[in-house]
Amino acid sequence: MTEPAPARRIFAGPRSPADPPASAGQALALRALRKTYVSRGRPPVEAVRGIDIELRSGELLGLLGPSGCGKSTTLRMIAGLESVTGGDILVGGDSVVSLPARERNIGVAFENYALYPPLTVAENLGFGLAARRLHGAGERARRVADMAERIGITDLLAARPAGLSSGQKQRVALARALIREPDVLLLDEPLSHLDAAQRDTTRRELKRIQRDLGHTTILVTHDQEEALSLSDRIAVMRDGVIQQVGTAYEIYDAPANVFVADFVGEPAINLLPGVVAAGGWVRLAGAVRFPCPAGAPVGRRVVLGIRPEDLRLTREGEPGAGTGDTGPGGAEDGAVRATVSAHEPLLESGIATLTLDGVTEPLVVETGPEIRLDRGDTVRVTADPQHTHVFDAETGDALT
Amino acid sequence: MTEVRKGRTAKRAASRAVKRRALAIAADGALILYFLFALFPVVWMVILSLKPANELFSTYFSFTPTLDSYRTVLGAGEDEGVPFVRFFVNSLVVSLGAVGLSLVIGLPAAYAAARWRFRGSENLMFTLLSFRFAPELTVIIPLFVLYQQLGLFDTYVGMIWVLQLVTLPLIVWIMRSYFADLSPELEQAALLDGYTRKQAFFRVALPLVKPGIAAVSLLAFIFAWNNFVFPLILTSSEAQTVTVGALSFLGGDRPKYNLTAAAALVSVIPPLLLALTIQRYLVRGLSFGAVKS
Ligand SMILES: Nc1ncnc2c1ncn2[C@@H]1O[C@H](COP(=O)(O)OP(=O)(O)O)[C@@H](O)[C@H]1O
Ligand SMILES: [Mg+2]
Repeated sequence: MTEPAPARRIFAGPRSPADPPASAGQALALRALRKTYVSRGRPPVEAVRGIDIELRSGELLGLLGPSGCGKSTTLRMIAGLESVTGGDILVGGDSVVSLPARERNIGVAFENYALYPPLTVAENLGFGLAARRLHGAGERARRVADMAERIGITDLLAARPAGLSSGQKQRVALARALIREPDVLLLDEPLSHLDAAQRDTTRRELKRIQRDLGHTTILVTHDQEEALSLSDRIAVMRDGVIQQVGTAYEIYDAPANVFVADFVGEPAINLLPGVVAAGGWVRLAGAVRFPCPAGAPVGRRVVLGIRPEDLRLTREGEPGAGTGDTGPGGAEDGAVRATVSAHEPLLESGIATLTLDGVTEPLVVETGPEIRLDRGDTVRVTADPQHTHVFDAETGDALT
Repeated sequence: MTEVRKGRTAKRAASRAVKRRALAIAADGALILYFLFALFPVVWMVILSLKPANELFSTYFSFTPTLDSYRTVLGAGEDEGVPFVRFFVNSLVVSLGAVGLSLVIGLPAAYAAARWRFRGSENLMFTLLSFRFAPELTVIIPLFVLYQQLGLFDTYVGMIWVLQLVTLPLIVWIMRSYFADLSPELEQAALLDGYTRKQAFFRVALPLVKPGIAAVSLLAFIFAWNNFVFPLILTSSEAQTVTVGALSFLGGDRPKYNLTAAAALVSVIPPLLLALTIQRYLVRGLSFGAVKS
């Protein structure tokens, strides 16, 4: 707690899967954890339906999912603020489900900060130590000052929560969660109430602090960027079920099903219905076909997933577009002819929306910054079979 | 061109200011008129209470003011056979007792109702509310019989108990909305910080609704203090309160309006004093629930 902070590492994008978490050893495990809310006069709500997650010590796991999918419920169960319907929660190998919140030693930074309004920041930080009668008053004050120093809120210690900005409240909430040196740190949508500028700086700070102090952390968010940039691994959740757990790269490059593919990625992945054809193709309509990753059974109805940045766009007749046209819409070399319906040039790239012959879904393609397209232009798109995904049309599960 | 426009806008602004001023004066005038209208009965009572007994029924306003009525009401009760001071003390005991008991029962009840939906919770709350809109007269006869049989007739305990019908619903309903406005995450943070549920309630939730407690206690006290029907039927002398007691001056051979007026004015003092001391919390308390950020 007292040595100087090591060099700061800030991650602004997906990190390589080779980057290991701080240390090994299982710090937190959820086993078939379930929660069903039963209220009179209403159908029961299965908020969490049997989830299994394991966190290594010092790991930051992003729990990512749309709102209402059961993320906060999961956090509250871990913290002991919500009873468990089924399953088990292990902290450091020991089951904690039968312990009350105060005996679990879990730190929570609440979504709405939940700072005690009548108390100063210093008193807010010291509250937990005082409530547990930990240390003497002098030692408590020293720890408060020390934590404030680490989080960078020393100049706020005398202020009251009402006078703080959202970003400042978030830091105070984090400091309060950390000061007891919890075994597990839980962050519920820590950046959701911040504006864009604060979000960026707070995100970097959060990462730095979590790295420095090495807490095993679950970060709940519905914001994929937040999850991708902060997490060692990500668990994607939907309707109370974990869809996939993996590094940002695994989630992004090998989504387990249509939901994960669609939920992660900006702009969203193209999802086009088709049928697997012989020769390594997925036929969408007529002669429109894209290369299919190996392993998909011929004749299966599938959903083809291609990310906008995995498509290459060239102008009709340009070098590199390939020659030897075999007909409208299709090409021997895998290039597909398409018509531009909109093009949105941005600073570092552009977004083109194309229509394919006989396909109702639009095709979104990321273009280079230098390309200018007009509505009605004819272009060719090529997809890399390495980066196309096929999902079963019925179940939505990945086929390869 | 711009000079002209500037001049014109300045003139328009000036005329608008005049109009606003006139409106404000008119509004003030209207308020003063209403104030006089509303205050008249009070003024009339003050006049009555200061009139000497022999000029009581004179219609002219000139009289020699005297404090005799107050002296009679407060001191020389024997003389008139009306122990007003005792009624006054009774009122204090009964009203404070009723509010205190309601707070002890009502605060935890309001908290539970705000935080949890339990079997019958809505029915319970509705039943409580129904005490307020059911006329007291509908239950007073059976209560009278019951009180006679239980020995609660004309006792402090009986009065404090029956006044729960007045104060408890008020406290539970208003405090429930105060607790509901309080983020449950605050108590959850306290639970993580090492508090038990009980400590979280007493040391975190309760202090945060203090303004609400002040406001609702005052309201409940006023309602209890002003209650007329219950002491009228359920007391005779020992536990009788000022609302009924003040009427005793009207009995006898000749109604003594001056004494009734003096008694009524004296009985206004406790709620007034309480309101003044609580005022600081009251303003904050009433605006807290309504003005949510
Ligand atoms: N106390 C509760 N009683 C009943 N249903 C609840 C309660 N809390 C949450 N839910 C329901 O459980 C589901 C998951 O909620 P939550 O965990 O808050 O989702 P998230 O945090 O992912 O947005 C939602 O459908 C929500 O309506
Ligand atoms: Mg949530």
